[in-house]
Amino acid sequence: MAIIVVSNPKGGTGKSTASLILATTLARHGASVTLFDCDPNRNLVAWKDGPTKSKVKVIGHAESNNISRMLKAEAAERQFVVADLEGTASLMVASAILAADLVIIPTQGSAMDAAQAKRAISFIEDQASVVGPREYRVLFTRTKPGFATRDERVIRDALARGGAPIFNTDLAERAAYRSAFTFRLSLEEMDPVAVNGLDKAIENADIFAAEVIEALRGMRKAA
Amino acid sequence: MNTPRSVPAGLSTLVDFKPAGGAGEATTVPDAPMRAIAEAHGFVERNPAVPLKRRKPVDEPTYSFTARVTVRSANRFIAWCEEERISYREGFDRLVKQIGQA
Repeated sequence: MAIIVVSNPKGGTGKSTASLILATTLARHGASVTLFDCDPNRNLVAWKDGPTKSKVKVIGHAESNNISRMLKAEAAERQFVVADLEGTASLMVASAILAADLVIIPTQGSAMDAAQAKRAISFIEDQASVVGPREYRVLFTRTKPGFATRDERVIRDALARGGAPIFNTDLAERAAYRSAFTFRLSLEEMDPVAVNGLDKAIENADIFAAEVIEALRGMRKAA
Repeated sequence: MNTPRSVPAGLSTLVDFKPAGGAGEATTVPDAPMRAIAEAHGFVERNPAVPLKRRKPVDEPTYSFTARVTVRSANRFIAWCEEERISYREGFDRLVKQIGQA
C-alpha cells in the first residue's frame, strides 16, 4: 500500500488534476485506488458523480481530526490511497502530510506557487524532528511540452539549488486533463476524436505515474 | 489501425503494492508537537468549533417593537409563549397572522 498526498497551500496549482490523473492512471493499470477529495470545491466528488465507470473510489468527507485515521483505514484495503488536499494551510493538510508515504507538491512556473510550495517543504522538513523524515517531490504542472518559460526555469533552478527533489516528468498543459473534469470521465474513457491530444495526455500520465511508482519503490528499498 | 500504446516498465505490474490489511494502523504522530510546528508554519484549524446559538436568525429585515401593554396582557402573552415553547417574536408573528382572519 502507499499513501500519496497532493498538497500545496496555494489554490490553483493543479492538485486536483494531478490527483485525478494519478489515481485513474494507477487504476487503469489494474491497481485498487481510493481518492480522497479534501478540497472544499469537491471537484473530484463531482467527477465521480458523472458518467465515469472508473473503479477509483472517491471519498469526500474528512476533517483534521480524522484524516490520518481515514487514510490509513483505506490503505488497509486498497493498494493506493491518493489525497487531494485543500489549497490552504490547515491542520487537516498538516495531518494528512504526516500520514503520507509520499507528498507530491504541484507548482506552476510562478513565484507565488513556488513560495507556497516552499512553505509545504519547510513544514515537512521541520516536522522531521518529531515524526521522522517524509518523502516529497515537487511536480511542475501546466507546463508547455518542449518549452519552458524564463520564470519556470528560474523557479526550477532555485528549487533544485535548495535541494528540493523534483519529478523529471511535468504534468503538461493538456486539453484532455480539462476534459476529464468537463465530461467527468477518465482519460481512457474519452473519445480520441472529440478530445484533442488524448494520446499524448495518456502518455504523459503514464510516465508521471511510473515515476511516482519508481519513487515509492526506491523509498521501500532504502527503508 | 491503432498501434498498441507502450506501457512504462514500472507500471507493467503493481502487485508488489499490497493493501496494508487489518484495520489500518492508528497514527503514531504526537498531536501536540505536530500542532505546534504546523501552527508555526501557519497551518491552522480551518473550521474551529463554534458555539451553537439557540436563537434562530430570520432571513428578513427585523424591527425593534416596544409597546406599553397591561400587565394582564403581558402575563397572558408570556405564559402562552412558554406553553407553546416559542419566542416572543414567533408569538407576535402568530398573532399578526390572525389579523383579518376572524
